[in-house]
Amino acid sequence: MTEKDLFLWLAANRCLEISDKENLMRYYGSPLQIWETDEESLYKAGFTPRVASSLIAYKKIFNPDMVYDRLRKSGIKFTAICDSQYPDKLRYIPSPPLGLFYKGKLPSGGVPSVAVIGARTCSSYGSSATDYIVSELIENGVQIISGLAYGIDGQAHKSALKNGGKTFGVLGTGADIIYPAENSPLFYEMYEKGGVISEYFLGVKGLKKHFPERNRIIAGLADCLLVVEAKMKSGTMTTTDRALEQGKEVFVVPGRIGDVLSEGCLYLAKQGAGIATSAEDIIFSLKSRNFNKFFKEKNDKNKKSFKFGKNTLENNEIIVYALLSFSAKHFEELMIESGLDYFTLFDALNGLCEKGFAVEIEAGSYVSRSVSEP
Amino acid sequence: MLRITNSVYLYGIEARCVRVETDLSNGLPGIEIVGNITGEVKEARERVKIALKNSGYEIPSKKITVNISPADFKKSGTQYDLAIAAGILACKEKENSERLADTCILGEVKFDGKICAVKGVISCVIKAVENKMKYVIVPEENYREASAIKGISIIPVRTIKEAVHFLGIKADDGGDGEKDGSTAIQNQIGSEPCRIQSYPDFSEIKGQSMAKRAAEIAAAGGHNLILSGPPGTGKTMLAKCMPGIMPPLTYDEQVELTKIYSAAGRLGNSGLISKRPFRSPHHTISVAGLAGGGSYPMPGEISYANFGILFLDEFTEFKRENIEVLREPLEERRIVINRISGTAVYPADFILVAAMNRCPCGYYPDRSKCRCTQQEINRYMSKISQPILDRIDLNVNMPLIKFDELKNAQKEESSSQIAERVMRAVNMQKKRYAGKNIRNNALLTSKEAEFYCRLKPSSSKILEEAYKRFDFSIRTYYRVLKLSRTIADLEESEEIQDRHVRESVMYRMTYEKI
Repeated sequence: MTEKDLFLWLAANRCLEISDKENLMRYYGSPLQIWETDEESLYKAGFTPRVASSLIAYKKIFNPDMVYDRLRKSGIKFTAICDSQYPDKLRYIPSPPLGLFYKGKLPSGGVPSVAVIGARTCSSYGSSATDYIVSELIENGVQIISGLAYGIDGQAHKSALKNGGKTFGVLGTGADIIYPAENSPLFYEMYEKGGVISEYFLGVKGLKKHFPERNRIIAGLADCLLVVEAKMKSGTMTTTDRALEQGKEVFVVPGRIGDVLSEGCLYLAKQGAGIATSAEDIIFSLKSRNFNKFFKEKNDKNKKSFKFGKNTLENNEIIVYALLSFSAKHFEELMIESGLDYFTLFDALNGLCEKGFAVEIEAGSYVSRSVSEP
Repeated sequence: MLRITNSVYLYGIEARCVRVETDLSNGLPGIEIVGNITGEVKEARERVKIALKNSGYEIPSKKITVNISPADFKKSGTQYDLAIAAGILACKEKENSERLADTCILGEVKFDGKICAVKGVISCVIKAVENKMKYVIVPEENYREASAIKGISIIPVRTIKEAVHFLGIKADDGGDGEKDGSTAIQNQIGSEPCRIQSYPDFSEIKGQSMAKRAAEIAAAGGHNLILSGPPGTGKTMLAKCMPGIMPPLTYDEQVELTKIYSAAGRLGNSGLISKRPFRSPHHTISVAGLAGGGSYPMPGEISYANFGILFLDEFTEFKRENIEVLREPLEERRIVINRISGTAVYPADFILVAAMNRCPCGYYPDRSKCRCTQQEINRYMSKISQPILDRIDLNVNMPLIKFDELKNAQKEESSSQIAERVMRAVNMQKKRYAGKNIRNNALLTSKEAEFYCRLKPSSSKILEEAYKRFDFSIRTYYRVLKLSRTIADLEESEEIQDRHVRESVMYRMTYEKI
């Protein structure tokens, strides 16, 4: 049995908690030591009967070939902490996962990664801000890490895929489980174009305690963290804590005071988190973290060609563009605010959408689109 | 002795001529009715016997056999009573009355010899005209309805005596010689006074110009419309205004519509229905109530809404099966109800107007008020399946109007102004589809749509982009095409312009946009 098989033996044991595995590794030092120990010495070391009996029981029936076979059938790969392809960034975080199950690819080490996280019930402001920043990051070759949940997480993955970038999702369930089910099309796209990663073995359900555990991997895989919208008490805030423990820089997208969804971000900003109003802010910080060379090559290639000026927009379009913002505005509102009649406004909005200055995010509701101003 | 009278069999709104054959022969006195009949027709024996007696006629003391022919389909209904009574009396005479052969007789008799109304008279009269009958005897209450049909003399009657008198049967009726009352009735009833159509006016709705525009397009081209938004934004009000901007019904449409109401016995003593129907069934309605059904198939709300508006308020509260049952009628514009007793086809050419909130609390997408979780919202929206959304061309989100905007709102357009534009678009369509069996743009088949809705290269590129971006189905593609045609018609533009296509894409509900 190789060392990798032994790690698989630990990683595939569904009766052990992540904290149990951490304690075992801390006490015995290597998986081989754990394998060779017996029940009595486990009790002596202070492990509970649950841990001891499950270890011994699983040892008896464990057959690496069968487990690999099961994984292969589900299209899932396994990498252990001793492997060379195991992400280096994770090796050095507190309590690193002993092994990762993944579908698709793993993030590449030499490429800067940004974790984009936020509230599940996000506002239209949140999702368009995510789209704006993620698109720019992707253009600069950055990888996006997130949690494949509703709201900001899903939006971050979607925007990354839309722009042809690399994106990786970390799950709180087994890698074969699609949760939430509504994101299923996104999962399938991720299997193909990115990667879906989990520390849990096949079929493990998403228990409440899994999500904080998964958050440490999200933070671990990233070089810095961007929080788009977060309530004061939320999973997003625990991810932020993990990121700070791991010494990663945290950025927030500023929101309005009094807005529940911005309370978390504003709190973090007060604590000294960086404020990101565009991808530039994040890239600037990444440059100072050994990625200077990476961005030098890219930046010259991908200069945005959008220019905001009187030449590109008609008179009415300028009026309407001035009224648009990141939070959705309904046609009706725009009509009253601009004073234009139905058809003029309709034409102006169409023009803006076509030139990429606005997007219809809902039936009849528009947001402005990121266009770099001169 | 054999006598033959004519009547009409009715199933759904389809009529068929039947002969009521009456024969006197030797045997035990009594009446027997045969010919594949249901209970209602069997009971006619007692009704006719007593009605004749109470009208002063003597029933021949012979064996009377009545056959309703042809006997190859099940006959139900009460409209044969009068024909049976007339047949029995005619048997008593030596000479056959000439009028029996070219008169169609409809009516149910009461014990006192009076005639009461029957269902589906208008369909029966149309059938009688087709069968080259000269006269049709109808109950007085059904006179207005029957008189809408030209090409036949309508004889309204109140009693058996009047009918017998008209038919020229000199049966011994104990004396007082009642006169033919039909002219008196005709004069008395006269033609129906023109009813003033009253729907709420569009000018009563503040703002919501997008929803109003969508309503205008829907009315002009017969497209379906879904209105979503928080409570109290005027969704219901807008739907109620819609019949007011639709063009008046043509004569043929009025006849078709009246047939349905008449078949269901919902017409009363009124004549042709000249108003576009507005039906808004409550969301607790059953499938049979909505689509039609019953062991004898009766029309449902979708048929009552024929040529008008079927308004389903609180669309998401309807049971799923109730919504899904609309799939075929929305495509076929009719509903086929199959029963052991036969197959009824009812027209169901309505404009579906659905109103709904976007989440259980109603305030989504306004996140400052909506407290629903994403799961709740998804579950709420998933009550309506994509096949149904596919069939709804116009999707409008109605926002809440702020108070100061409410005060500032400019003068709103009235229904009559909008109706004028709709009328122009309808005339465009009439001209285009002259001689073809196409009533409006929404009814075009995909092949016809290809022919009538040709796009310029630039417009077709816009549609192609939308097709890819929003993941359209083939059906959606043609529906967007047809909607663009209607928008162009509203501007009386022969050619579909780029912005017509853009506008119709904007109204499309896609999950991409949700």
